[in-house]
Amino acid sequence: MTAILELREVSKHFGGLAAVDKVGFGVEQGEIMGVIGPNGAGKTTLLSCISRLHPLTGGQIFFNEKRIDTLKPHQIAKLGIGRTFQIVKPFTGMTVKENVAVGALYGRAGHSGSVPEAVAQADEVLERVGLAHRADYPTDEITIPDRKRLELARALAMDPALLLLDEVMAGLNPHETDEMMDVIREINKGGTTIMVIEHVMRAIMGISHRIAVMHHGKLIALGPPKEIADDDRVIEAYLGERFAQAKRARQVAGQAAANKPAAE
Amino acid sequence: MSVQVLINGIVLGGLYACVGMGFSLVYGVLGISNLAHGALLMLGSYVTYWLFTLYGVDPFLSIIPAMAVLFVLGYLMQRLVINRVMGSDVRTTLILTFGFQWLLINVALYIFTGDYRAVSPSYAGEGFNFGSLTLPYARLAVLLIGVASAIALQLFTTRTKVGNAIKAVALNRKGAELCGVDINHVYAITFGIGAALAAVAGSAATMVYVLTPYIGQPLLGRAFVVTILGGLGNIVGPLVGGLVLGLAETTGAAILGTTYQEAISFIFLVLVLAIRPQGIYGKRFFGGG
Amino acid sequence: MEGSVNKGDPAIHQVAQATTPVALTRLVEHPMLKVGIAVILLAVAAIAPFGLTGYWVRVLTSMFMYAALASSLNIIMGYTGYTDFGNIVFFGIGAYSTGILMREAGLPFLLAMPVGGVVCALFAVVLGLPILRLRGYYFAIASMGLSQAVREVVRNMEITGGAKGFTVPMWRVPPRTFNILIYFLMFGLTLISVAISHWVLRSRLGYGLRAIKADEEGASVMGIDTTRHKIAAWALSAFVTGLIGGAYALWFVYFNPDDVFNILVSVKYLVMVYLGGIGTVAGPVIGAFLLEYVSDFIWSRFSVIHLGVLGLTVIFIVLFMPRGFLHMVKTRVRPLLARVMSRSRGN
Repeated sequence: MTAILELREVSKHFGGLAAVDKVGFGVEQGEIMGVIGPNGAGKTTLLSCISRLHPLTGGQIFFNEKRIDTLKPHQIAKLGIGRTFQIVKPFTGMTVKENVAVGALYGRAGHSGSVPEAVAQADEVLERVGLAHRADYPTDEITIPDRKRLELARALAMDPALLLLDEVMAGLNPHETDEMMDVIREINKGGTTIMVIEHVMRAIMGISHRIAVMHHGKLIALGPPKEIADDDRVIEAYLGERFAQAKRARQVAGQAAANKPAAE
Repeated sequence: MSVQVLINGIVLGGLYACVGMGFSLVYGVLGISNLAHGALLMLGSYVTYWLFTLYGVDPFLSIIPAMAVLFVLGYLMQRLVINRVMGSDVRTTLILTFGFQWLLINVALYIFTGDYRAVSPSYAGEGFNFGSLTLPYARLAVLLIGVASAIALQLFTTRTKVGNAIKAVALNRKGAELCGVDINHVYAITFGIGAALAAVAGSAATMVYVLTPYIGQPLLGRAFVVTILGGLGNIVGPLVGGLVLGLAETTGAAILGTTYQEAISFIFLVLVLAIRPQGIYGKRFFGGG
Repeated sequence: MEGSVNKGDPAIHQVAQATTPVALTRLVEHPMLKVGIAVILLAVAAIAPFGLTGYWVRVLTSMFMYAALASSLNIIMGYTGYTDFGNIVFFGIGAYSTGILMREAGLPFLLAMPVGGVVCALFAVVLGLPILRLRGYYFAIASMGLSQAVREVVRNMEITGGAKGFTVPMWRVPPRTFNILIYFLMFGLTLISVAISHWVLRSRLGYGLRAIKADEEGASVMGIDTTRHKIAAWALSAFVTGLIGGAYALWFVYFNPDDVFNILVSVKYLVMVYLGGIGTVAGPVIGAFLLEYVSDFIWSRFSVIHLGVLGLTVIFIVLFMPRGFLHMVKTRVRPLLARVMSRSRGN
């Protein structure tokens, strides 16, 4: 497996504040990489750096071995990176279907853009995310969960190789969260690499192959979900007292079991 | 470069600074580009003209009554009409103030007719003479008025309660509202002050230009340039911007010919916007950093 | 235009059948109605000049000119969301280019006019690069400054005749024929302008522009090269406006910089776009006819307060009809009609 996305010593400073501080890791082709961390850890800024809405203060970003931190946002989109925004901003004045069609017209496949084809593709994508019944609605007349789905649909229509999702599950109830998790897994099965920022622990632990943990702009841990849940630094920074206590309790119980005469 | 050209540029800059100050204030605090600014200036000029012609009031003294009249007009304009569209986008207020401009100019045309008029007090043509250089009294006075307005405005916004309220609203509208500031009132006062400052420029302009209902039009363009050159809505900005523009115009006119003077101000505007839209000072908020 | 070409037949047929209010309501909603109305209007417009006095032919010609201008402005303003206060600069450049090509290069009008349009488009491309990088507000100011700057430069040029004005070689045709020909010229340009506007809306470019209008940053993240798109929109608008300027040159024969670079005209058709409904195809045309009619009416009766009344009209529109006439019809008039219908049905 090759690293589809590679970050080397990526830093982004706003004035004196280091929002992202020398972050370096790789995302493997075809995996789902989760990104977690407390608010203000720099997760969204990192995403914005990748999609080039912010120029980097330091470091480099490579996509399929090609350097992208010097490109313009639309060029990065054309290479195959799509993203959603934390605060959903659908294109007002256009219907749901038209919003998605924009993605189809301008994304990775979009250079051939004929409008009827793009609209047909938009219909397809809307089916996949479960928004087909709202296709002709103006964007200000749909619910928040539907707007989240629209964000996702728009990015999907671009036919991205790498999809960056920024808190797509915020504000969803448990049932909707499950649905979204399924959709994301489906997309991944189709071959799309996904990087997900999330606060909903259950969701991100459930779908990620690996998880990166950020704190104060730095990367403090990287690994499979189980490892992360057990990692001391992560627990301290993010998962909180309850997990720390549970871990300590497990350790004590484990010690006690080890002190008993071994059965084997 | 002839020293006379420099002198001319500086005094012209003083007038432009006057013109730009009210415009810049309104833009900085309300976010409105007041396209009626030229028309308000013109009305100030007419107040000065009539006071001079009917009662022999010296143009510089008539600045005060002109300011008073225009303040009231500006306050009403904002309070009754413009406040209603404050939430919407830039386009809307631009068009609204443009409509006001047409209306005000037409009212002036109707009442005063388009006849050319002039304000000529006894000292009109005279000035300081150093060898071959001349510095007309009137123009020098305009420059001083410009500087005085800037100082007065600065003191107003920092020392008075209302002034501070205006500053607060400019920096953070919601926050100011929560502190009990009556936003509508503050907006109206600000616009009124902007109009009053336009009147100051209008009075000053009668010493420099022939008076018609269209006197404010070429000056409106300069107001834009001065505001943008000086950077958004701070008080020293328009002074600096005015001086730079004045010098640019007189220098350009000396080199290319006087017919190009108007062209220069607009070319300057486009260039500044294309190269450095945040202007020389480039502050983002009125009074702030 | 899609749909049947039988001039208004389906609509008439349905009107005959509309004996109940229900059918009438359905008629108002029927998509063919729009086509039917348009076809009828076009037919009327085509025969109108032959039956009207010279005065009214001129008024209608003026209306078509403004309709074409408003439609053209809509491309950069309505679809892309970039307020172009100085669109008139292309009108002037088109007028002078056409005139100069006709007088100095001896080109026939039908060749000079499109070349004038191309000159404007090139101008927009060259200047668009630095200016369209700016955000909406700054672009509006820059476009205004640009039109004034160009006006002054033209005033100082020799080949344009400077402040003394420019005279286009005249057509040797009797006045009545001339008026009718000009009428059809402007009519044709309106059709072209509307057709281009219609095409843009449905094309890939149109999707991109509307995305830019809604959220420029979001649009770029989806792969839209925003600068290129904005320039394309501006150049298209410049081309059409330039054509109209060229037509104006032929019509008025003599003009000077203050006539053709008059920012009041620019704002007038900007208001028309607003009045009719930004971002729609029919809106600007409707707005143009409405405002020009009002303007002409005012001018003929109260020429002294003409500007003032226009100003009041503008203020009124901004305060009470910010989304335009069409939108107001959709949101207020249609439900009102429906309620009236259902109430009469209930009795």
